[in-house]
Amino acid sequence: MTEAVLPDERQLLVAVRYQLQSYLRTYRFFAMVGIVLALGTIVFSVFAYLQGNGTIRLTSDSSAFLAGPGGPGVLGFLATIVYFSAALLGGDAISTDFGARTGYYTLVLPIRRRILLLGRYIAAVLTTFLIALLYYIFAIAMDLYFTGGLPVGPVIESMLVALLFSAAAVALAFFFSSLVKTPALSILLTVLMFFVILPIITGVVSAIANIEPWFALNYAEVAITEPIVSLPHRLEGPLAAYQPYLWEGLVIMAAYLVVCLLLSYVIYEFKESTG
Amino acid sequence: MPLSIEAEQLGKKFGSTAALTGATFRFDGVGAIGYLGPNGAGKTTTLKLLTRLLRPTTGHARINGTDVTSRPKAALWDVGAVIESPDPYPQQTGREALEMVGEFRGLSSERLHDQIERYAKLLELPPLERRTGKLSKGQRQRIVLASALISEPAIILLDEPTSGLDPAERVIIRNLLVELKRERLILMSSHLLPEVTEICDRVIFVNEGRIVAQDTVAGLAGRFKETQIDVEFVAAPSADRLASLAGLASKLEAVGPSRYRLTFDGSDEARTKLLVACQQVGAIRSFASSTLSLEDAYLKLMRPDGQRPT
Repeated sequence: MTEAVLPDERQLLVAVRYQLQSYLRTYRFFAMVGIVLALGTIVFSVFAYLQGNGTIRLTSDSSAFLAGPGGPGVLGFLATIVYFSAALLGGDAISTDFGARTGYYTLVLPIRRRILLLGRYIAAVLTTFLIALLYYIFAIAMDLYFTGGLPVGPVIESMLVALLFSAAAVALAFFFSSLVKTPALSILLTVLMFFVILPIITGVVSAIANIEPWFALNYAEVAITEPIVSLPHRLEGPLAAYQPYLWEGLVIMAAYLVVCLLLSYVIYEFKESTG
Repeated sequence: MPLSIEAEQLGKKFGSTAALTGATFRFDGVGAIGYLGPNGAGKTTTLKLLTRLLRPTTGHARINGTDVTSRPKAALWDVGAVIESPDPYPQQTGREALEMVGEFRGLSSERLHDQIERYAKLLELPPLERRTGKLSKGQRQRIVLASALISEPAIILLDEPTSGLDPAERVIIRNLLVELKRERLILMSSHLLPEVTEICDRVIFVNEGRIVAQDTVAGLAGRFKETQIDVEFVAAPSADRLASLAGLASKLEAVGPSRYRLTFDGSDEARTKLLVACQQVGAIRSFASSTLSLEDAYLKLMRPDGQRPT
């Protein structure tokens, strides 16, 4: 072989490109696109129908339309979409190398595992964010249609927060995919974490123990709409409810990103192909 | 650059189970080495240690003098490996799977294109625009082998490269490996002893995680060189008469009512003496001899009784 050793950064670009290509061809990606299209269509149809027969009257407050309160807050679905995408795309990103046989194709190549991991991670974040953007397009279109306005700056800021949130959610999914060997199990674990375990912990800690759940990623999800509508930090009532400040949400997301990605890397680096 | 594959006291334990213990070998230059042993002997474990799919519990694996565990990228840069039965990403076409590997290995797009065309012909690859997930096992195996060879690595590590292939596909791979070993260093595990005899110059026998022998193919077969004579008498001879053969053969066993197998050192002198002695025992219907092969050496080393399985 005559070629000089390729630098890591060039191998990273190759990894991102091929992984992205692979993600964009998966049934999971098409399923997520289908879900977003269906969800957007349903939400639009329901509002159009209800407004048409006079059941509801949507105001011209486009911020409330997008983020509530005082409006439907259609961007409220965004975190769920990100969770699903992150779980489906990142939930088996590492386990597939050890539970399926693709690892024997890639891990024998002269490429550092951290580069492979980073390439996959970037591709998974971009794909997840792409799906989130698709929903943003629906939300923006609906906002323009029903309220005639659009808070452009705050929406762009919200998108940037959503990008960080996608990066954090995918990092958590990667972490779970590094823990187990079976791809299907790691996806299932990730889904359970996003939709069952984290919400229960957050609910119990904030409502019953009256503690701000600053350690939970789902607590930070409200920060996605904070640039559009700022909510009070603590909502009083029979059960306490907390909303993160924007900076607080960003810190939680960044912490999840860094810690989960680092842990994933360490586990991936030392994991062995024993199957 | 001098080529070398080296294991120094290489060992791997899974919990309390030792999959490989103190494996030590070193091969330099070009040629092909067969790595032989029964299932679970430690062949794949050794290859995984040489490609950093596993981390050694003891010892070192080195490629061209570079430690595989501590510097995997540098060590594996000039290595093409097919371990177990790898699957490329199922969403990729065969061409994309090959391009990805070529790009990771720094091939220019022009060279990559040429190499893909070259191996498409050499290995009779399936249509390259088809997704690998839709290919048969044999077709996928050839894509994987092409990906290991596409950068023309100087060292090739193969784990049972022809398993799962049909006879025609095996011939293609075998011929290619015979061609490649003239300029490369190949280490391949296999169950197929005739294939190893044809491709490899040297062999390592491994059993229960330990290397039990390593030598050239001819040297190893020669070390266990024995010749057997199957002699069939017209009528079953008496025990007294048969006893006269015992001193000439290292082993005498009955394999039929009037048929006996005599094992001796293979020398012409001993053969002549045995023929004369047999004629004195009784009228002979047939007298045929055969020399032990690598397969027999394998059985001698791997099976405690040295017998062929029935």
